[in-house]
Amino acid sequence: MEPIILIPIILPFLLGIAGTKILFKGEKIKTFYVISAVTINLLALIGILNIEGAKAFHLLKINPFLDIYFKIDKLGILFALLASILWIFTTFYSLAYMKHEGKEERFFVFFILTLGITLGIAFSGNLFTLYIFYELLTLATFPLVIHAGTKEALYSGRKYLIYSLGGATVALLGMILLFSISNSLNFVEGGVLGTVNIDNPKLLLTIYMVMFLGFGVKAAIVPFHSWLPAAMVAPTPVSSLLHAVAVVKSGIFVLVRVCYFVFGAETIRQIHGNIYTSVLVFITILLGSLLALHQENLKKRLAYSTISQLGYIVLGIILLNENALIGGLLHLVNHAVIKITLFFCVGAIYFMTHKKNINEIKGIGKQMPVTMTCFSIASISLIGIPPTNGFVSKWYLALGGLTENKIIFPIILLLSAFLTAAYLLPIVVTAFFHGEEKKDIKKLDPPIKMLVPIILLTGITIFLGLFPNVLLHYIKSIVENLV
Amino acid sequence: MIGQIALLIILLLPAVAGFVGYLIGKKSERNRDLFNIIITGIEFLIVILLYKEVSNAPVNLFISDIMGTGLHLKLDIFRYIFVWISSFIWFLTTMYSTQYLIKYKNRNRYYAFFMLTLASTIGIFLSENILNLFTFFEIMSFTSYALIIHDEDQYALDAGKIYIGMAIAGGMVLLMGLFLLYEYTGVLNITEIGEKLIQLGNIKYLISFLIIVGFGVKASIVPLHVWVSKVYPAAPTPASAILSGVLLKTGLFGILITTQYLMQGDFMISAVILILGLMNMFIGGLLALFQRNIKRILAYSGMSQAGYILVGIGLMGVLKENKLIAVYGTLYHIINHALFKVLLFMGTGIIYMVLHEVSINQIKGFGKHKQGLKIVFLVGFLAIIGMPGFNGFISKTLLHEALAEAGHRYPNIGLTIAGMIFTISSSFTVAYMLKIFITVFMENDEKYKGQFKEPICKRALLPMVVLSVAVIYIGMRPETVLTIIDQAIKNFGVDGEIEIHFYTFNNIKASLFTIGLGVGIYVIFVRKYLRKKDGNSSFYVNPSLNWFNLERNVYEPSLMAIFTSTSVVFHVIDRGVVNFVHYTSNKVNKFSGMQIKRDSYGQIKDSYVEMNSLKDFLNKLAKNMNSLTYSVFIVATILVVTLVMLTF
Repeated sequence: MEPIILIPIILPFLLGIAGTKILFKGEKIKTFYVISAVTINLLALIGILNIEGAKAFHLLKINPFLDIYFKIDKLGILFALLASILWIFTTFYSLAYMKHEGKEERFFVFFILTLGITLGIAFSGNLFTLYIFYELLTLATFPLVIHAGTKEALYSGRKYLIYSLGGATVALLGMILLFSISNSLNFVEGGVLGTVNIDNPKLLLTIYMVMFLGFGVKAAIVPFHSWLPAAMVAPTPVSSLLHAVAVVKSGIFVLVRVCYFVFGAETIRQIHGNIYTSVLVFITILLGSLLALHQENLKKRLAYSTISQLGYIVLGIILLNENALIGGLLHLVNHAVIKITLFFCVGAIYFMTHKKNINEIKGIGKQMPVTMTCFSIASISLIGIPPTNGFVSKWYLALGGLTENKIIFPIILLLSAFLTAAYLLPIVVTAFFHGEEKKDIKKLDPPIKMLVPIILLTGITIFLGLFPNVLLHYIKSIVENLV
Repeated sequence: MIGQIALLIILLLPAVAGFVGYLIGKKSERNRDLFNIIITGIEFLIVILLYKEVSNAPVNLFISDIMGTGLHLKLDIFRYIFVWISSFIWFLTTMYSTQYLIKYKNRNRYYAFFMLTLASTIGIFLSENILNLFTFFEIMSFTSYALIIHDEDQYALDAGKIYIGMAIAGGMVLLMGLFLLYEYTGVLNITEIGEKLIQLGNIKYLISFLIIVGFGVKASIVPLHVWVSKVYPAAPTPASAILSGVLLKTGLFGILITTQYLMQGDFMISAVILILGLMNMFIGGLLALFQRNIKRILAYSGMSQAGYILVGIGLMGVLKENKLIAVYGTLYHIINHALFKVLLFMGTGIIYMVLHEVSINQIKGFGKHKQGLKIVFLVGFLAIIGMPGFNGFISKTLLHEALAEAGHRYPNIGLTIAGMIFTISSSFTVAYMLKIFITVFMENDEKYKGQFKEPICKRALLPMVVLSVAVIYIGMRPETVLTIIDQAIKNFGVDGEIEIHFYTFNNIKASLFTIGLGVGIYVIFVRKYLRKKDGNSSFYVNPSLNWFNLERNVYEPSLMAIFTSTSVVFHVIDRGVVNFVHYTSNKVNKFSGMQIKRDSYGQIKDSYVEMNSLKDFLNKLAKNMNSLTYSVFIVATILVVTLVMLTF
């Protein structure tokens, strides 16, 4: 029964490959096929999670290092469910949006493939397996990034490849070095290094930093972040899903695995790894927020915002205490929901009016009231104003910072929150309150397939803000074994 | 049980009504107006009916799971005073708005946010959990923003920017305080925090400072008052009335909670609040003297009156177990200020409705022949200056008594000066109100005679009449309000009742002295110094425009400097890696491009192409690969270098 856990990972591969034939058979078939593919996969995933019994499986084991091993644990489930559910929203959105981008078939093949790879990352049982899927993710998303096929897109795509592959290579170096010490890269709560004697903390610190920076490339840690704004040339569904959720969150997810399942919080504290990394995270948070202020292009602005928000999550990870990690994981979920909403709204504006800069959207709130209302709510949530979900994660992050007795952490968070307000609220204000009075305003809210995901996601934003407890308890149950 | 349900209703009713009203408004504006008036009326009615329940025992309501910590509402008499005044003012202002906004655009949006603001304001006063309080406070900031920028012209948008910017910044500071508060005490219930907080060391001062700054933005404490003079004139008058009448009180409520509940009346904090209050009083009053826009005068006046309340709050802590009189004075003045300030704003709004102008240079003599307006404005005027017989007299007397009491207990020069500032500030009030009243209602201007008969609808005047009656009634019979406050004082940890006779010779004398002084300032300073003659007509100037200005001379330049410098730094970091890679790769490219033997190489290459096409193909491939692998290689090299540096 054990191989059954591979279904959600392999199914998208098969469906994606089969899609190369089926997707071309017509509009209706395509819509039906794509929707059913992601839905079936979600159902398969839920089904597997409900099956009792062993949740681990060795696919291929050559030696302790070259071991493809899958294991389902609570953290993986969180990430897998988040990705799968957001994938469905994005599917509906893309079906409408991609019409004006063209080459939908190619898009959807890779789109479905990527889902499988993301789930592979979620369920990897050791670092080596994770690494393979991590590399695959880069390759599978590359065609999505360069979808437009323009010179700029190709350039950005290349940048994306170089950063990601380079980072992964460096991380591989770290893996090999680490394996030489620990002889195991399996994920264990509390870290595989728990039993190993630390006789060379400097080497260990080096390994930690190498892996942190290597995997941190996907998490857009400064100074390896500039692929993210560049990759905004991709179509909006790609930007939203891949660069606010799947790719960057995979980077974050790997960092959680590395910090808490490979090294372990205790070890990192002993080698003082958290001190070096926190400097980078500081810069990441502030740089993202501050430079977002300078962006005129809406998507670029959101991209820099993502950099800063990813900094929040990484901060939660590297503070190495319970509250902070709760905050970090909460923000992993919350930011995904918020950012995808923001991207969807910006995409809707582009889809309906072909406007992508702030000074062009004067008074658009009157034409697209529903879209812009959702955008406003998501913005407020990203700033971290209660009662939205952004506040809940910020609360735990700040408490985590204070637990470490460092008042600077919450100050940075609040400063960045203020900057977030400064770069998001002008969009809202421009959209609603600028622009001259018109008598009959043409309603431009996007088609239902795009609007419904936006509204539902906004609903989730508020719901998770008002009733965070279910998610919170689940995350607490993950965290209590880790710290 | 009924009380708890009622609590939930007064919180949710306006919020739901906001949305429902919006939908109704799309069909029929008339119905929506009626709907909103009825809803606020019901709200007010429920609040009145709640009095009996609340005076028996405080009503508590706890709903778990909301926002993680649960929603904890509480209504005791102390909070009831705030809730009552909010719902009362809102009811009247809604009625007034329906007339005021007739010629405005976007009315539908206005009412939706108006009702949401009511809900959040009520929420602030009801919250027992300080996190809930913060939530409602932030919601209120955002919803009131939509009211302020209602005109959507550049001035309003700029004012709105300052408002929302300061509100968010204040909110962040407040939140910082809450983070620390929770980290150190682990509780969020306002009545429970105090016991734990008081045991902490100096950190408690930092915490309370941060919280007070957060609330202080709304309470327009010096130097956080810069938004006041911009926002009040920009907002539609009913919104300004609400801002001054109620939203200002949310900030003061927060400060009151912080000093009395969280800090248990700590002497240091209270003394600071007392000093800030005196500064507010004085600076607000002084700046009001110079202004020419009535709404701006009233804005500064609101700041000055907030100073009185702050003085009261400060005195509560300073007087410790003898704070009784300060409690009475503070709560009484909170009620009074809401009544007369809203009345004055409404009067100004009437002028604006007719003329679309509120600068006293323009509207001089407008009210000379409009008896109705003149009378209600006069009531507001006499109330705010503390004329015996009006409500302002009662609370100012109480506050003055409290200050005298403090001077009696701690005889030192500071409190003597405080007493003087109190008197001078009160006389400023007289002077700037006289400035408005005489220019607008006493001077003669032919062009405003006999015209503008276009009747102001009764619905706009009715709220003003109600307010005037209330002002006079509680001025003549203070015991009606005092009996309510009697029950609230036990929330402040003291017992007893005050025996005070307001209409004694001494009190009236003191009041008349202040008024006399104010008239003197008016005659000497305002008439002589601020009024310039230009032929037959005269006009007011505002020399304070050129004075040192916190916003223009301090906040803006320093913010800009920080912003620019950090931007530059971060831009360098942002582009750093990419530029470095480009730079090195260019250098390396140049290096690789160097050819030792150019000619011979060229020859070989040429023959190469002709002779071997497969190799050429491979060569091309390698060349294409090069650019990619090259960059990877460079990135990896950089990482290795950093790595080595980290190791050693």
